[in-house]
Amino acid sequence: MLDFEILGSYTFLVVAAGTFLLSTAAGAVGCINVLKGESLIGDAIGHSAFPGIVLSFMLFMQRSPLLLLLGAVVSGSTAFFLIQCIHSNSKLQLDAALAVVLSSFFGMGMVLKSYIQGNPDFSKASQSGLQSYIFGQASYIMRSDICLLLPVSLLSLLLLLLFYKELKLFVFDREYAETLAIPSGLMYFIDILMTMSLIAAGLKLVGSILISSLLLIPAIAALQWSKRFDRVLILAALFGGLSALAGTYVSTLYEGMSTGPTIISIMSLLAFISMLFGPHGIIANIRLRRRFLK
Amino acid sequence: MNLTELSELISHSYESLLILIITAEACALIGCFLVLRGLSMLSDAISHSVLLGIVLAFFIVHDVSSPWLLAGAALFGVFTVFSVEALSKTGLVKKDDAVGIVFPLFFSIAVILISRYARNAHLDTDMVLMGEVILAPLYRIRLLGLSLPKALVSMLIVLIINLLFILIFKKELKLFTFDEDFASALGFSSAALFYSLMSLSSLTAVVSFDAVGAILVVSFLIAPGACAYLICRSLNTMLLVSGLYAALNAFIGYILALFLQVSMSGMVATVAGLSFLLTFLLNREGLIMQLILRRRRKREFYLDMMTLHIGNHSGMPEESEELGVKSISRHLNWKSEFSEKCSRILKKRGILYIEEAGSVYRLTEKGRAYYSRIKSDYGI
Repeated sequence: MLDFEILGSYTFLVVAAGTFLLSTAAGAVGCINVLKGESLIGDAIGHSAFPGIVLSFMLFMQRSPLLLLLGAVVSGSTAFFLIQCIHSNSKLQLDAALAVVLSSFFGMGMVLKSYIQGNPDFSKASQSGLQSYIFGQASYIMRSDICLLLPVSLLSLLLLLLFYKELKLFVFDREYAETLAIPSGLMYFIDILMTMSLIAAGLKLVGSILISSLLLIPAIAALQWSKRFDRVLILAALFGGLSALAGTYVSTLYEGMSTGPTIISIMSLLAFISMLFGPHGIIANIRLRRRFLK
Repeated sequence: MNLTELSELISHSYESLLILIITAEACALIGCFLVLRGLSMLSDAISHSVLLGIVLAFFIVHDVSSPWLLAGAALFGVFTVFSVEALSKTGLVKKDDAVGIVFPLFFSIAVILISRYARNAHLDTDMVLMGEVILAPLYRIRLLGLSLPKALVSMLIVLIINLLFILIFKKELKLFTFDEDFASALGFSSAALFYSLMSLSSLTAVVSFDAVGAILVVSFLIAPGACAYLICRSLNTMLLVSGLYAALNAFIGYILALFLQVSMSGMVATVAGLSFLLTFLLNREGLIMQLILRRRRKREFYLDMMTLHIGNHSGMPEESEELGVKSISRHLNWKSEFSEKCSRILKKRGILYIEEAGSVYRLTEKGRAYYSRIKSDYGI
């Protein structure tokens, strides 16, 4: 049974609001990346945002969510640009470029973090929260974080709605889109803008290692149910939002269940169920095969 | 910090350097094949989900350094690869998506297990991320009457296993890497080789875990191989060069980390990224060389255009206008400084001269020969 005392408590409401906003927006936006076949780029950007956060903390000596977000966006974009540059100018495959960039950026973050820890100059400003950007500490988010998450999620959803038609064409048939004079540069920019800002804003909730799965897993689950772009977007947003609420509830109920990982476990569960029971899923496939064998 | 202090520090921690270098070598050897086969992100998935293997094995044996724990965790890495393969074989998701869904799940479960049940145990999240190579020499083992760091011995064993595997199966690995279909046609089981390669990378990731942590091991695995792939043309040189890169990265990272007093494995990963960037920019086919070549080709094209223009119009009635020193830029539709610069280069090469009387450009003997050659080259 649901525990209504928890459901009404202030911390639960704040955390649930934050994770719900983020996962809904990320679920919808993630569909674009998955359909474009770039699902692992989000992973690379998520890891690479970490040094930006630490660097921005070192520069401004405070943990205001907006400044940290800016740092994350800057280093995430640098990593993205580097990956594209390496991929298009060398014979190296995309996944090797991703692996090199993400691991060296993350290493840089580790170096900066250990530099702060050993340095007396930084002992005045509280840096204890930086750890939470690696694994995420959703249970410690505050109203100021929600104030950042709300505009970022709404803005990316708004962008998605505004450019829905153009993005759809861009994802499925880029050449045709270009003949219709839809600038693919602009579409790229919008896609990156949405992805990057959601990743940066969500780092504190789920951490830089797992953030990419918020973009990826709802999209995969939704793709099992429909072949229509609009339905997939809505379903992905729904899956994202639902697992965020359920995950937050479970993690508030049991001590030690970190919120971010719980949400992602529930999301994966949903994805596996979708793969099993979807109209083209594993069970449907087996049935179909049986019918032909008869 | 001055040099004497630094050498003092080195004399206290040279064993960490040894561990780092041996880890880097063991990873780089296997990493070459991962880079060549396009399995780099799969190794990322392994290194993340091995954590769950370690946690689960820890619950069973309650000893972080037991060899059973290492074996269990390595098996779990192979299980990850197996799940990814199985998922993508259903045809419901692409391979990349399968990677992206499997490892976050395993990693999340591991984080939940650690934070819920193993808070005070020897497993904490910081160690998971970076390892503590500086502390690794504290855990020692007696071997042949010598007291050696445990991590050094276990890493050395992994290095030897990797080396032996590559030496013994070099021919098969080579075939399987560069032409899988041909290898299967010859009767080599590509699944067996694939899974043995994956088991070895998983084992390497698990054992390196102590020294460098779960995430940075990706850098140790992939970065040297990626650098070597950019500059080498044969498998043998690639293996050697990646070994060199690995050792160099480890050494420079170690010195810098001591000097700045920061995380060693993090520094090695940073240095590996920088060395990759330098290689990418500076190698013979690198970005900078490409840019230079592109510029040079562009300039040669303009010079050819000018030669063609002069050749086409000389001897014609309109030549004083078309080829005039002052007016040629208008007809080529170039800026006048640019056409003057081009004419200076062509003059230096002995292709054109300026006829004093009419002050028009003319081709020399050599220039006319060049003119007819480019005409046939461009197919005009």
